[in-house]
Amino acid sequence: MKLLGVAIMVLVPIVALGHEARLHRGKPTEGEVASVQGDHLSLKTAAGSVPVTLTDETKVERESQQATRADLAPGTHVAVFGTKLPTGELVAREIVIEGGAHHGSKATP
Amino acid sequence: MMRALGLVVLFLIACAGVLLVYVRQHGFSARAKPSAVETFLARKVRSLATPAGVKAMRNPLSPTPLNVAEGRDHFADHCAICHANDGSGKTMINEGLYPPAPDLRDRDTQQLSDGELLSIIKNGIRFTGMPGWGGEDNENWKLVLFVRHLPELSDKELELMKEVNGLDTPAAHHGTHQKE
Repeated sequence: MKLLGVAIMVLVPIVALGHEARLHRGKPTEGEVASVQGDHLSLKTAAGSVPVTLTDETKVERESQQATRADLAPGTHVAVFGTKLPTGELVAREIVIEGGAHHGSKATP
Repeated sequence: MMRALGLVVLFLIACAGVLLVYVRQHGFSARAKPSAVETFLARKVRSLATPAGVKAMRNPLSPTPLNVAEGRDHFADHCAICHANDGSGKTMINEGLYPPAPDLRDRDTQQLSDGELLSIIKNGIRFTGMPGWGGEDNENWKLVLFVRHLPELSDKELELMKEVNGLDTPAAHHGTHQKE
């Protein structure tokens, strides 16, 4: 009975929190900004080039601080959280700039 | 009149007795499949328990590629563990549920109104394994869009869902699906 109580206390918050939309971060696509054109970026990843679209709701962050789209210069290493469309396009919800601009870093799909 | 009533009562008592003996000998298993009568009655009760105003609700979101894809990721994250990525319900958990979740691509689910689907996602279904998820309506409406999209799910979309949850899709999935 005690065990059941503990299980309920642990599981209920997990289920409740699990449905919070803000926690749907998913796995990021990491890579280097190859080019920027308006609301579109081209991201160079280990698996190839990924087109990224920014929307009005896209947030840009650097070290947990808000950054701007102007910070997304070519050569910047970023992790993009968002939704992949079947066309291959990635619609960004959040872009995290990883430690400023550098080249030749490891990139993952 | 009294005699007929007495016979009916006797008959019902006899039925209850037979049922009791059967249950005591065989027990219940959640791995059993509900009979057609039970399924029919359960669906009727669920329908009756859904307020008319909810049934009439229409999805305010349009099925844009982004809305459907966001519903897809949400489904992969929370629903596929029981329903499978393709909505077939062919999962280890669902095999042990009584009643099991239906194949969401089938007519029985697809003919439900947008409001009924939203209500099921949000409030769950009592006495089944379907929890009431609560959550924001905007996100739930995207799930409704995705449930509507399930019969036309592509292999590429299944691949993207696997990226999210690591789940393989049952081998039976082959493109467009719509069972009567």
